[in-house]
Amino acid sequence: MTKKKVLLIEDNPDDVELTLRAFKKNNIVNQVIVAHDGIEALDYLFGTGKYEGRDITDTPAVILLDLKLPKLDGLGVLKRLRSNENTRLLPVVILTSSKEDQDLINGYNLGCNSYIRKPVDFVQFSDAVKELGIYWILLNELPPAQSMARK
Amino acid sequence: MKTLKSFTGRITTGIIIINLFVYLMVGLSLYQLRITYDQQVELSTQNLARSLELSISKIIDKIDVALLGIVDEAEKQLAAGKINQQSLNAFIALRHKRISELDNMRMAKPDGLISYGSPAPAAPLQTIADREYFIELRNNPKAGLVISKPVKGRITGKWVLIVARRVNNRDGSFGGVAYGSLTLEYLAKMFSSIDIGKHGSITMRDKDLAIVVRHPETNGVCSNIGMTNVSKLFRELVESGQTSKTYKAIYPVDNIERNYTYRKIADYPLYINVGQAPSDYLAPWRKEAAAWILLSLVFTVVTLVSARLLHKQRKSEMLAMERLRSISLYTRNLIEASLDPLVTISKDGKIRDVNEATVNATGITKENLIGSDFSNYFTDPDYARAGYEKVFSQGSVTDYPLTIRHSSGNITNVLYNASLYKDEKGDVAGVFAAARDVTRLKQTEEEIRKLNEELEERVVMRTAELRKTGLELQDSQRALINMVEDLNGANDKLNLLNADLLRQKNAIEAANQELEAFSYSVSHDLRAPLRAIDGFSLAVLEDYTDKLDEEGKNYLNRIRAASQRMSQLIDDILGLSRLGRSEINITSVDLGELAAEITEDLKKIYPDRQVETIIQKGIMVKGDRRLLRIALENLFSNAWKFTNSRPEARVEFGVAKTDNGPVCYVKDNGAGFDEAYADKLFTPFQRLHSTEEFPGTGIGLTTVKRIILRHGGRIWAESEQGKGAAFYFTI
Repeated sequence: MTKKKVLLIEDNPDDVELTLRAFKKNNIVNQVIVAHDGIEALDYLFGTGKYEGRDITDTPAVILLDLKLPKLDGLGVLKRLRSNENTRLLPVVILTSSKEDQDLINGYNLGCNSYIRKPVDFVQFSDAVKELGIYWILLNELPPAQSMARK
Repeated sequence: MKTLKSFTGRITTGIIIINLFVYLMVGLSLYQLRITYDQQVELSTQNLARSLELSISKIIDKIDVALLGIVDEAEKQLAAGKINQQSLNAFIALRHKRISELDNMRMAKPDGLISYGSPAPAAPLQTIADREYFIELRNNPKAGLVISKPVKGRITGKWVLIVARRVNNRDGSFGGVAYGSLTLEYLAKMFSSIDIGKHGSITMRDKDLAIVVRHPETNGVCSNIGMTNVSKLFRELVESGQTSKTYKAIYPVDNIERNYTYRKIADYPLYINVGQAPSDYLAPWRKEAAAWILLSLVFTVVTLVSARLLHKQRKSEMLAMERLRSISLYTRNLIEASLDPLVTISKDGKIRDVNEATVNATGITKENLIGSDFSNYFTDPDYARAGYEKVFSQGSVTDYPLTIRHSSGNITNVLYNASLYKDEKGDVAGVFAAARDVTRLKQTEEEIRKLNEELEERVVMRTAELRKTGLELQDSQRALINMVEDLNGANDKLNLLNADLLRQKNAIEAANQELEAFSYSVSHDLRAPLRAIDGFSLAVLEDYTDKLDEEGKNYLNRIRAASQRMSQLIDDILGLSRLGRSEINITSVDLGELAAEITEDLKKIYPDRQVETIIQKGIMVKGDRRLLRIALENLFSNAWKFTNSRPEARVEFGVAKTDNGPVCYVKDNGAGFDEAYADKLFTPFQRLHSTEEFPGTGIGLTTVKRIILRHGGRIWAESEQGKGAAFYFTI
């Protein structure tokens, strides 16, 4: 069985690079799929557009979602995920620079599983990525509905 | 219902006893009556037997006298030679005439031929030579009077009893027999004339107890003659020689039991026996008994029916009582449930009844209250009395103010509502009064009254002041008119300015919106490059460490430190800008408690610091708890920061009373600052110390000031370089 993938939705190439580096430094070797805007992320998850024909039962172990995104912002993506039967229960971690109360409240209201503010200090950032990797990829058990969908 | 059961038991027992008694009494009296009847019938048979004996013996005596006369005459004629038939016949006829009971009187010659008599025998002469009595008299000169067994007359053909005597010749030899024939029919007639009941009997028997005459005759006329069938008892009694006896026996011929009395008829060999049957003489007793039994049964039925009715009535009474009791309990419970003291008062002012609330209000037990004077329990008894008297005279009172005195001395101000209540006949029974506790109402009234007084005073004062001012105003008025004219001119300018202000206000609102968008953008977009700078600097340090000398590494570290500091600055600026925009949520806040929480947190964050904290508790203010916490956090973390060089650091929080109201303070014994620059403390990004000495962004105190200002307070600081600082604020 191949390792489950991680979907990173992030438009800033620097942040993509740093996130991937953090994964690598913490020995998290799962394949990371990068979507650079909200639409691309949805295409990947629903097997449309650029990802036409992709096996959509191959769902990521966790989705790392930035809020400020081109075309469709992070909260918009979250809303679409939660209203679709196949992606309803996927673990979503919001990973953002924003510390605005309103963003936190909206994120949790729409059903994100976790909310992490990206620290400027890379050491702290790396630690945060490590923690969430260990938790969401290694420890967390997916709901049975997801297991059924994968077969 | 228990009582109903016992009532049922009592009534049942009562009925059984009464009925038993009645039946016993009836039984006893019937028994007595029966005995009386028996005694009466014994007496009756005895009397009858005696009178019959007398009658019959008299008849026989009479016959005997007549016979003796005839015997004498016949013996006289025989002595004279021979009997003169004619004269003897005449003699006998004379005697016979006097004894109507006799069918005939005759005399037979020694050969037995009936030769003389009345009525005179006609030829051919009949003989009685074969008759027993003739033979006995012929053979026994001393036989005396002989009474025969019933015989059928040879001349008359009638059943008769022959009463006979011997006639002697002069020499004493047998000269014939003189006799009288007593017809049994006569006796039977005599017997039948006596009422001895349908089943009674009168019997005449001879010495062998053979029947001579019996009434009634069981099988027709004379059918019973000669029957010797008698009860064993009767025979034994006679054989034992008793001449008279009353007894009870069953006559074997007709099998009827009777009460008998028999008597021997004088010295004659005859017995008379009178018997009366219970079926006859007890008939009236039976009727009476039946009547009594019927009456008793009627009595039983009547008692049962009345008991049933009584029981029914009692049951419905008890049900009604039970209903009444539960209704009464319900109403009583309502009365007791009332929180208002309720009381009923009789016409003489005595308390009749009270509820629990009254007991509570007076502190006196219900038992002691009832019967005592209503007016006793008030501070003004006369006024209390006047109150209920007013109810009696006018029908009711409302909101009658009284003061109840509790036994402990406490007083309760109440308003009484009272009215008359009536008894079941509709007559006035007394006063029903309900009190309402108005202590609190009164207090409020008192306060309002005081406030009104103060207000009036103030109005008076103010009026005086105004009057004074009025005079001054008149002077000023003129000056004012002048000024108004000037102002009119200025007003035009003001209008222009107002329009300008409105424009500016709109511009500010637009700017605010922009600022908000800007802040959001700053928080995201300014941080991303900083993260890149920091991240890639670290990447270079890690990946190319062998290609960098110490200086290069130092520069990269400085780049990283600078970017992190800038990130902190961005956060602080954002926080400050949010302060101005967020809404204030006013509640009651304990600043002392907040201060204690914050210092506890600081002690946890800096476990290696030894800081003595003196926190005054219970400083209550009205404000936004979240904002006040931010302000105190800043003040305390400053105090913590500036005392870090002190081995005996001390931080104090409290409130001081001043002429201008309470002032809160945060004091420390830290580095302090030069008072000359005190006004710069609260300006953003202004710092009085180097970053190396005391790190910070210079936003903290600005934040504090903005929070205090938003609460309408003031903040200022006092210090002396090196001797600690004190921050004061009012809310």
